[in-house]
Amino acid sequence: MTRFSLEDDRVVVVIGSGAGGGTTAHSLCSEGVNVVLLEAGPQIDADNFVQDEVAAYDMLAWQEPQEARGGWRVARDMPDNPTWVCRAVGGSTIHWTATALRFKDYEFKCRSTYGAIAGSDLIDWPISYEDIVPYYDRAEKVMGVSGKNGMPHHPTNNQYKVLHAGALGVGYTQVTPGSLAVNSRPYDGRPASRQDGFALQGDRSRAKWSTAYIEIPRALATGCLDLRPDCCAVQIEHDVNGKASAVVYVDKNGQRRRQRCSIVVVACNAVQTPRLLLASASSRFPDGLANGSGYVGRCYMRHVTGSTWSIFDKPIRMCRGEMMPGLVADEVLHRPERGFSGGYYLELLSLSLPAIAAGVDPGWWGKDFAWFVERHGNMAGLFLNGEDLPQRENRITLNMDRLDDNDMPIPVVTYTEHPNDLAMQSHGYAAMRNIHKAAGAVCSHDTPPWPASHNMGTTRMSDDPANGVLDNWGRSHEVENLFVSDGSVFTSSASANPTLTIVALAMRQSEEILRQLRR
Amino acid sequence: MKKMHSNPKVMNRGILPEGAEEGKGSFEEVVPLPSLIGVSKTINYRNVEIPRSPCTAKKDCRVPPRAAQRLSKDWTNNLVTIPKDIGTIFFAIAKILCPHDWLEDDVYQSVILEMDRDVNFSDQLIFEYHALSPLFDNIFADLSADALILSLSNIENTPFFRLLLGRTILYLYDDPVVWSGCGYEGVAGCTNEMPRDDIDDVDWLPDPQAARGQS
Repeated sequence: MTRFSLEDDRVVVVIGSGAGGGTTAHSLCSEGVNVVLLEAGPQIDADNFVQDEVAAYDMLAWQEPQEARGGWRVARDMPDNPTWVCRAVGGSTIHWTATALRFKDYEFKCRSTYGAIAGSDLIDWPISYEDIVPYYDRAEKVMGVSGKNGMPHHPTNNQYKVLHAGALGVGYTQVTPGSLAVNSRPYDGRPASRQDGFALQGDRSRAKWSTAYIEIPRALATGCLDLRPDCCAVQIEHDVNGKASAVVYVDKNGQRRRQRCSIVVVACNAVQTPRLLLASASSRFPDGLANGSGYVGRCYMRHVTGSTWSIFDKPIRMCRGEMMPGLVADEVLHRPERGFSGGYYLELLSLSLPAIAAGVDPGWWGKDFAWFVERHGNMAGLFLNGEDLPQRENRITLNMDRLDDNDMPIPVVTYTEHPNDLAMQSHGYAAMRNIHKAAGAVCSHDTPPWPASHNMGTTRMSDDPANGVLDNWGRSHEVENLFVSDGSVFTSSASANPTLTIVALAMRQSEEILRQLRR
Repeated sequence: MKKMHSNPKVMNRGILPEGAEEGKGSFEEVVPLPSLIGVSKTINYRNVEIPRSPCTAKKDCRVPPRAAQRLSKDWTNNLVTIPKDIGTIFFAIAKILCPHDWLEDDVYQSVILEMDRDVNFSDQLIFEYHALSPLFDNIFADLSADALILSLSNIENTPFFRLLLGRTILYLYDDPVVWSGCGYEGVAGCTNEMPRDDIDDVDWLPDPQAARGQS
């Protein structure tokens, strides 16, 4: 087991072990760079995952205190629980649904394409689609994305039959089994999917890509990785030159420790990353580390989401097969004649009975509620995933009056939908109901957004240091050895699920970190 | 047990479209209202004739079973934190919140006992229950279904109601007996050796395989 000294200032410290942090740690270790990887949660062997909604949530979810504020319904329904991410080695790659989609070319040029939108703070990305394509290519191979590089699509399940019949019935043409980073055949030393419907609970078979059992064990095997689970970063320190010099963290015994470093990569997700930077304020950085522009924590995005659940007069058994084995892409393109900018995917979604009962409409009770959920066997689901506009006042801040067990101020997630978001959501609900109705659904229920797993934008990349936090490599405009490698870096949310892009950006960023280390 | 991803501290009940009466909705009337996007619609399924589709259900064997699976008539004797008389009220309420006439009483009783096992939670629940008085004095004196529905409708926005509803849903729908009746299989049908071979057994919709090659 590799251990580096706390005083070793040559190591790179990566904070967070999910899609971004796990990928970065592996990329750097593979090149002989010594890395200390801090993960707030425990290391859990995949063999110990439980295929059970409630038990898995208790095992995996980040349940430290948070606050939700703003006009979104989550602030009313789940005021202390506005996000749903994992706290374990592997981060949210343990519970992700594995939908691996590329952003569109124009989505990197969203401001130029959409024009100014009142109330939004939209800017173009500082990189283009062409810049990221080689890394999308590499990421899709590493992750074993179905429908790419010879990995077959997953087999048709009943949900896909519903989607296919309904979507074609209403005139959609881009109806596909989607792209899942789940092996549909044995690949990379891992088996094919068991088609058992368990993804949110962690994939015990390891058919689904996760840094927990792919990148991190491989990084450990290089001898260059010092993995420190149950270690929660609470502050990033800097030297007199304004360079990051150490990371202070609390270990599993509650001991506060300080790891010196040459470079820091923050990859804690778009809530915890800005929280850490804001909590690292100093006399030199009074508003938070790397926050001279004031954008740390701002422009929080979570995608425009919603789901529709419909009852059929015969069994569907939606949980058989993968969770998201199909999508409709007809609504992705920017077509402002619909009444909104940007676009959205319609994705299959299967949820267990406990999740449906708790989430189909929080607060619903009585005969109609019972009637609906007791027909879970006849239920089909669709999920809307669309572009969420950045707004300055949608942001992560700190509640200095509420401290967690590590004496860190808890994060406050403030969010209100933009009118563009609401117009898109309304359009999407109608589309989902229409699809199900065309397939024979008897009735449908629209479900509001849940706590977000797609958290983005809170340390965004920008060409201009005045309207962002990071440069085109995900490096701080102000702190030259501070990088961010998670959804926080996103300049816009685009319409696709974020993980593939996080991984591709992490691969690209790692090359820049190597160049910087060797300069 | 900690809460699952949908916090038990749940809030608003569904809001009807303007002009609609509860229990008078239908498929066609479920329309999104721009001002209420994200807010639920309540619809009446009373006239929709669709049978449930029960199935074999199984929990992952790694999840510990509940302490009390089958209970005697004197189930309130097993309550530790919640007083017996209040436990009886909670039981009656749980059956109103999630009414499944095919479920035996012991399933609902098990839900109350699960709450009782979480001492911090049940202390808070009892505190909030007593906090209903005097505004809702004697609100639960009549435990008939109709009276309870009316009473509960009047306290939907109270912490007591939110707590009780959240935990009732959490525990009730985590029970494999309920899974079976609702048609959720859990891990039944799954093996560690082979992929499921029954994932596309719907035979009343076209097979998309032919189109797949074109997509």
